[in-house]
Amino acid sequence: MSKQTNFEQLDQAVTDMLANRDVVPAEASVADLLLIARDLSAMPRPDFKARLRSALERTTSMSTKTVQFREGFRTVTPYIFLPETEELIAFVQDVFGGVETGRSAHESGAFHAEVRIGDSMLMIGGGPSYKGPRKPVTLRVLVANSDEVYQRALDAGAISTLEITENYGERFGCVRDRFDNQWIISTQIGPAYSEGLEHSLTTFLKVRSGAKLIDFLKQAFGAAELMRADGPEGQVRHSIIRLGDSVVAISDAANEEAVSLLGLYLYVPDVDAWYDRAVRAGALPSYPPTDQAYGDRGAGVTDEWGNFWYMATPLL
Amino acid sequence: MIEQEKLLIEAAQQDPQRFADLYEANFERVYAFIVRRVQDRSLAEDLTSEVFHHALANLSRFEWRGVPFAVWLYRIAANAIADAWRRSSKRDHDSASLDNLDQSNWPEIERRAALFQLVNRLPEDQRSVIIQRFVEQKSIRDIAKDFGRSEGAIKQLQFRALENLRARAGGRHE
Repeated sequence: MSKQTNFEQLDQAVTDMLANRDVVPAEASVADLLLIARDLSAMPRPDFKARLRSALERTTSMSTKTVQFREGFRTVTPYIFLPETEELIAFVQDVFGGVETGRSAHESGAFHAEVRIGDSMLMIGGGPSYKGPRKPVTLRVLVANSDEVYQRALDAGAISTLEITENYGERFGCVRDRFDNQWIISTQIGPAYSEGLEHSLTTFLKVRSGAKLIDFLKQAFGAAELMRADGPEGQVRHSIIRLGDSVVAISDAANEEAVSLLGLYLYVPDVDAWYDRAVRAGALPSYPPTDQAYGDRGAGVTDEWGNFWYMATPLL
Repeated sequence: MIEQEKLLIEAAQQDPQRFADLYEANFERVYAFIVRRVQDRSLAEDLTSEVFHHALANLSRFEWRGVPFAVWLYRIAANAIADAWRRSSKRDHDSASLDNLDQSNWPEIERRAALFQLVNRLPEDQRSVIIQRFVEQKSIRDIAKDFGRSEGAIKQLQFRALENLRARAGGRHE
């Protein structure tokens, strides 16, 4: 039997080592090389370093990239789903002077409309064929005269849930429309208690475990707390959270009935990066980033509370 | 060297896109630190990803005290490993966390990190054999088919690649 060459001895030792990392080479002449081989058997996949670098670069672009969103839109736009879309649009027009800026109807019956209220946008979707869950919202509407607008809301069929009062530098009252949306109708009469409240619409999220939702938003979307007041048992009584160039208010719901699930449309600089980060933070992927015919690249996730987050970046 | 690293950190703290420089300088050592402990490529890659994302998100909190940046990354990695073990109830995570930061292991981590970098500087055919043999764990026969060469030729390429790495790493591999 002929003597094995050194490269054959080495390969035999490598084969044994790959089958069992603890194997000791029989031939001392290849021991050094086998130790190198053993370390190499744990090296990262060749494309992993580049993939991770790309993911990190996408994350950094989230905080530095600037993109021109569609006119009138900021990062957060509330999105209300219901079958009675026309009735809600009429309510918003009558009470808040909303202006419909666009609508589209798919042959399947799916409906989407966009309404401007003051300096903010509201999306309304669904239509008569909509069979999904209702996602009523709680919105604060900043108006010039809350008394007048509050009365108009009642005249339009809304029910008062809080009569006009003054607190926190605001004069405000609350109503519930017949589609279960809550409207906080407010006029600023003193210094604002938090920055970010100067726009016409602010979305309020009432959830179970508000503190956990705030942590999720920090991880998923790089959110920041601008103001937060916790109750004695750690419940979030009220908070203002910055998301991109917008804010949302988050609090723990007083009871199960007060929990509101909602859809929010986020205009973001890089939808792929935001989607990746949201999924890494624990959100359930609903649909991955996809180029849409209407000019956005969009993606969707659902958080553990059931809120649906649309994310979109305008296609260039 | 340390002064240069300080400048890189300050640049990244001012502009997150400069984090790429710190990543390139430390990727292999963080991966080597983790894989030495977890002995599993997929888990090591997941945890490496976690470490750099955490480091990027918290870079503004990093305070320069003259200690290499890698030490901060090792601390994040040790916690990530302990958390992974806690999730899988694999072993006592507190002792594992302390064990991970034992400085006597760092020279070995540096040596492995250097080795991983050297693979990319091998001639293309040698590099390809190393990747297929040790990462993809293909047999010599399959690699020979892929290359369109004899099995003996592939064994010789493998031998030369490992010799090359030993020579470039310098000194005895222990």
